[in-house]
Order: sequence, then C-alpha cells, then structure tokens
Amino acid sequence: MRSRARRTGSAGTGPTASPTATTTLPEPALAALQATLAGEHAAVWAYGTLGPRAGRAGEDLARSMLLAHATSRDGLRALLVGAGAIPEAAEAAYALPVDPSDPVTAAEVAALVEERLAAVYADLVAATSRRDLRSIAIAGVTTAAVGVVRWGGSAPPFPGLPERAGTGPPTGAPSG
Amino acid sequence: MPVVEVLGTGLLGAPAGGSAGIARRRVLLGLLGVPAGLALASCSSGAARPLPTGLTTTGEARTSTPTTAPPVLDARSLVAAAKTALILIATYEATIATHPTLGPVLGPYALDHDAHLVALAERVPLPTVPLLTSAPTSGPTGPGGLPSAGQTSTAIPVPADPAGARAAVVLAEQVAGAQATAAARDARDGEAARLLASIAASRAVHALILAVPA
Repeated sequence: MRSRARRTGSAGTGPTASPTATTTLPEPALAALQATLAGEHAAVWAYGTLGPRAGRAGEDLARSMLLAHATSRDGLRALLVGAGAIPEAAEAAYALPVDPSDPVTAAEVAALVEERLAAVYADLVAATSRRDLRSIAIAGVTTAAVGVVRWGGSAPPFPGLPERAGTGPPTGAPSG
Repeated sequence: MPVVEVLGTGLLGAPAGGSAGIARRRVLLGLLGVPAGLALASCSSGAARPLPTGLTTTGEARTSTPTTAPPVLDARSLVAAAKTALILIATYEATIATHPTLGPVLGPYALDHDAHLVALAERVPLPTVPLLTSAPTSGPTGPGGLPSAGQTSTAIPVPADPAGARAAVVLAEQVAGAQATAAARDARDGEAARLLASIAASRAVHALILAVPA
C-alpha cells in the first residue's frame, strides 16, 4: 500500500507541470501531505477492491468509506495544488497484505487500511504547524481510528502511533 | 491516600502492576497533591516528587536550573490533558463503583486513559496541584463495599440509572476529545501535537463505542 515517494516542487528536476512550481509549504509539511494523499489513494483503491467481497453489510460500509476517502483525497489534492505543488498520483494497483477474498478478510484489510491511515495523518499532525492543516490531520486521525473500530478492529490506546502499539494495557477483559 | 489507593489499585490497574502502574502512581501523587508522607505510607517505593521526565526539548532545554525541570513546550496543554485523563479515570471509577454491571464494558477504556496519563507524564513534569474538589480525607466509605468509592463519587456525580451513567461517560469522553483536539491544533511542538491528536482520537473512539448500546 505504500507508494513510491516522489519529489515535487523542486525546480529543475522531475516532470514540471508548470514552470513556476514553487510551493508555499515547507518541505516537511509538503512531504507529509503528499504521503497522506498517497495513503488516501491507496485507501480508495483498497475499498474498491475489497468492497465487492465484503458481504452485504460490509459492501455498504465499504461504499460509504470509499466515498469518504475519495472526498479526502480530492481535498488533499486541492490543498497541494493550491500550495503550488504537484499532487502525488495514484498507483495503478497496490499490494495488500491479505487477499480480501471473503467478508472476514475484507474487514481485516479495511481495518488495516484505516489503521495505517491513522498513522499517516498523525505524522501530518507533527509535520505542520499550520492550523488548518493541523485540523485536517487531527480529524483524519480520529476518522481513521473510528474506521478501524467500524470494521471490527480493536481500539488501541494510541491510534496512529505505531511506536506505542505494544505499550498499552491488555485489552482483553479480565476474567472473573 | 484513599484516592490514590482507589485509582492505583482499583479496577483500573492490574494489581501490583509493572512500571506503568508505578509511574501512574507517582503521577497521581503529583496531580492530587497528596502529602508525600501520607501518600507513601502504603507505597513502599516511589519518590514524592512528580514523575521525572527524560524529555529533552530541543528549543528550551538551555534554561536549566538544577532543582526545577526545564520548561517544556506546550506544558500547559499537556498538563491540562493529563488532568482531564485523571478526571476521566475518576469518572470511570465512580461510574463502575455505582453501577458494577458496567464494569466489563467500561473497564478496558479506562485503562486507555491510564496509558494516556503515563505518556503525557513522559513529556511534561506534572505539577502538584489539587485536582478533585474533595480533599482525600480519611474514612473508608462507599457503596458496594468498595473502600473510598464514595469519595470519588462526591467529586464525580454519577447518574442513578445505568443508561444515564453510560451516557454521562460518553459526554465526558466527547468533551475531553474536543479539548485534546483543540490542544493538538494549537500545540507548538509537533510531537506533542501528534500525541494529543492520538489521545483525541482515542477519546472520540471511546465515545463512539459507548454511545452504541451493547
């Protein structure tokens, strides 16, 4: 699901769509924004792939989630264009860790997509101090964390922070 | 001491927990402003000072005095988030004490706030300030035979019916999530913002899950 990183905005190198591709965003924010867009590209593709095999209820959920991610993708793309950058393009296909062949594995893949998106958005939070981008990024973390749960995934103590994935308390209910 | 005992060894924490439990206890000592001698009477180990942090801030670490910790970016927001986490823990404690049937539902999410508190304490030294309105006076009282549960209840009112109590927890999570969202948006340090955003997401997820009847 991780697409290749592409350099944008640097003068002289790469495919220059416009001669004045000077971005108004600092490099860390730009890179994080591109990575987030790449994640949304992957999510849209993943939901399109897993949706038909997600079962009746899962298919409806996948459809609504696909629309939501497509909206986010378009918004991020517009942000990048507005900042003078060339938005990351979608890959033709993405490698999924699990083949979504039935409703169970489809839900697994969907939860994983949301989990990784939460991390991407959390990185975007750290990479920018612009309040509008921060707000978008924070909402992205929350939305993805909710998405994990909607697909039956467990709620971690720190959504989007993989380095803290193992530090939380055991989620299993205490016996007795 | 009673409040510390309730929060430290009650239904939230695993009995005789590992480093996380110890860390939280120290945090609680700092936040609740419990006199060290009193609080540590039953705790064999632990410093009376707030949790020491290994945090090295890049920006403001140069102003260092030996006795006080260096200032931390976004300290006010981080401390506020820690206080809210502690209030949420107390809310869960009081709710479960009043409605034990909600324990299996609420318990796991209360542990998340425990983890948040520890993570925040890693970033900022938590000051010694009174948190709960009722001072932790002596006297093991409380419904359900739980010692000191009544004290927590006096600070955190719990609706009498389980559904209302559950809804109150949902509301508390929503408010706390909004607070963390605003703090993350305004934080100056990127990593602090990232942590606060994650905590905001966790609280929002709690609210969502608990709002849906099991």
